[in-house]
Amino acid sequence: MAEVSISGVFKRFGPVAALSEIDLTVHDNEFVVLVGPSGSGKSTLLRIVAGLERQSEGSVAIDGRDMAGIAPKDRDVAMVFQSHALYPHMNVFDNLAFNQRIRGVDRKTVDRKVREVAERLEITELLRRRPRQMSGGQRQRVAIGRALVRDPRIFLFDEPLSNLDAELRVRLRTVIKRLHKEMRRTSVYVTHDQVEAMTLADRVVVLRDGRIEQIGAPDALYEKPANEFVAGFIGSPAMNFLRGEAADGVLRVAGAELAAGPASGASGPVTVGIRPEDLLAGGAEGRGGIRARITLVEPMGADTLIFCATDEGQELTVRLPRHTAVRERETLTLAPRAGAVHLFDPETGIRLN
Amino acid sequence: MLDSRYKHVFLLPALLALVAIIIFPLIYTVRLSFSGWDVNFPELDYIGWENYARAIADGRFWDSMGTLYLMVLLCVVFEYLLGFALALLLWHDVKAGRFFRVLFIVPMCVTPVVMAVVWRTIFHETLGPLNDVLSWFGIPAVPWLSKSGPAFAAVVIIDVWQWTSFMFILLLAGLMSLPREPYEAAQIDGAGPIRTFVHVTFPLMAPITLGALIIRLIESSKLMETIYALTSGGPGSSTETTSYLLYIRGLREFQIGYTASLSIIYLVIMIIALTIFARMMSRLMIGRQGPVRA
Repeated sequence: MAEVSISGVFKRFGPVAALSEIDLTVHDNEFVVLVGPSGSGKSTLLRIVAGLERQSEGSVAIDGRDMAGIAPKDRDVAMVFQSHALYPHMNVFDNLAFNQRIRGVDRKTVDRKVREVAERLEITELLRRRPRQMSGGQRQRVAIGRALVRDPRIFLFDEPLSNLDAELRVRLRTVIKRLHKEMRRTSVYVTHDQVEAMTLADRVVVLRDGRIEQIGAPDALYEKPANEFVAGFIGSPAMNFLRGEAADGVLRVAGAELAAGPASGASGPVTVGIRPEDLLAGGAEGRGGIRARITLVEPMGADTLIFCATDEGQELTVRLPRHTAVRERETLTLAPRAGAVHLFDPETGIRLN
Repeated sequence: MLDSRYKHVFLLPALLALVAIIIFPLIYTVRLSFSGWDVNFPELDYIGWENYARAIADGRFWDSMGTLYLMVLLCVVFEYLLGFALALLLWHDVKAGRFFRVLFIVPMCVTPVVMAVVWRTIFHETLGPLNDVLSWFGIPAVPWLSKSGPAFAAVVIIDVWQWTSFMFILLLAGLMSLPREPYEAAQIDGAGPIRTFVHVTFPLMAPITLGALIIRLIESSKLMETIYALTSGGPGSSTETTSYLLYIRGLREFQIGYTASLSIIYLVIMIIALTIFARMMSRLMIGRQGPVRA
């Protein structure tokens, strides 16, 4: 049972504001991912929750209890770090047991807990090894284990997978997700990788320059990004942005005329966002079609990425099903899927439709 | 692609210098150690293992080695403890750290002989300021340089004074390069300052500690100038280290052949001792698998 309420948190390092006006409630048993580019303040926010850093303003409460002046060890949180941060001269068993021993838990209980966790993470055969005798993935498993042994109210993850290679990252990601499903503990997870954010989170918090840009479920963020930044940040390859003009329910973009969608009352210049998979090839030219010349084809196996340029020189990425017979320097006529056009204010970046 | 033979050409000057200043003297010393070269017979004759037999029976030589080891051990241990303590004190105080780092370099820059002369004045039994200060606390005058115990202590004090800063600077640099995350993990785990030191700082510092200790061991084993200027190995031979004895035998008494055999024995023992020490320490502090990667 743990709910984290962050309200009105500011953090300043000298004149630099690392966090501004952060209001966020992490509900009991919820998995919240803080995502954003480097320097967005996501790690700082996590460290404030852990008590490793103190906010300049605002409050953090766990289960309604204000955490001001409460040391990290008394917050009943466990943290997994990017660089595993295991104790180098202790073997895995001692690393896992360290916290419990400090807390004076009796030998038998510690032994049982450590073995349980080791089994769950499949590191039983590593218990006698020292950190440097293990691979990066094994170390990070141990680091996760160290948090599990404590059975804390809240799990905090600070980019735990960033130092691992791609394959391991995917494997450990599923391990973390499965653990969360089994244990149902409140978790806050920091990453700069939007794929991790999408796959793990119950809710994603997108941060930029110390401000929250949007909070929402992964699908909601993907389908209805609140602004141009979130639209560009979530999704890979990134959303295409084109300059366009809206007038009378018609959207003029890259020499084509599209239906702007019923809900859009926008008029004047707009930024048009279309995800690569929402562009369909082979639409009729002229009305409803964007002409684009293919500059590069990247077959990905399951599908094919096509990079092209409109007549006006704007870059577009298109995701087409595999076996699409296209070649470089060919011209495609592209039409967006109905209802998949995002409109943003070209100045403020705020969503218009 | 350059012809790989070129690299040998570029390495040649360094190789020649190495041969001239290390390899040749070393081989020549080995040869000398089998000769009876001295003041009366400056000749490279061959007398077999005679010098070595004499060296093994030479009590003064072995005593000097005992003196050396005790001295080096005391010096390095004190330097390490003091240096580490100072480094820990100034670790989180960046400004003070910068100031003291510069200040502490000064002793290392002083010429050993000059320093020994200054210290000789300080240690002077009747005129030196040290006994004066001690007398304020009711401690009777210590015959610093004329009694074996105090003379030994005096040499150690000077070495510690001069080289603690070396340990300090090295260890401080090590501390400042430690990763932050293990400390935060310890903080969240609820480890207090002592546990944090024992389980985080000390193990993370092990490779640097080991390096610093070995550098100082090698360096202080050559202890010579201080003794030359301060006590001349006396009183008696109580502060006579091996290198000082070698100096007496070789350059004062000019027993070149015999001294050569002494230096070869000394060299072999030093290599063995330091190797064993380095192995033991690294096993003890770092474990068998090489240094810790953070």
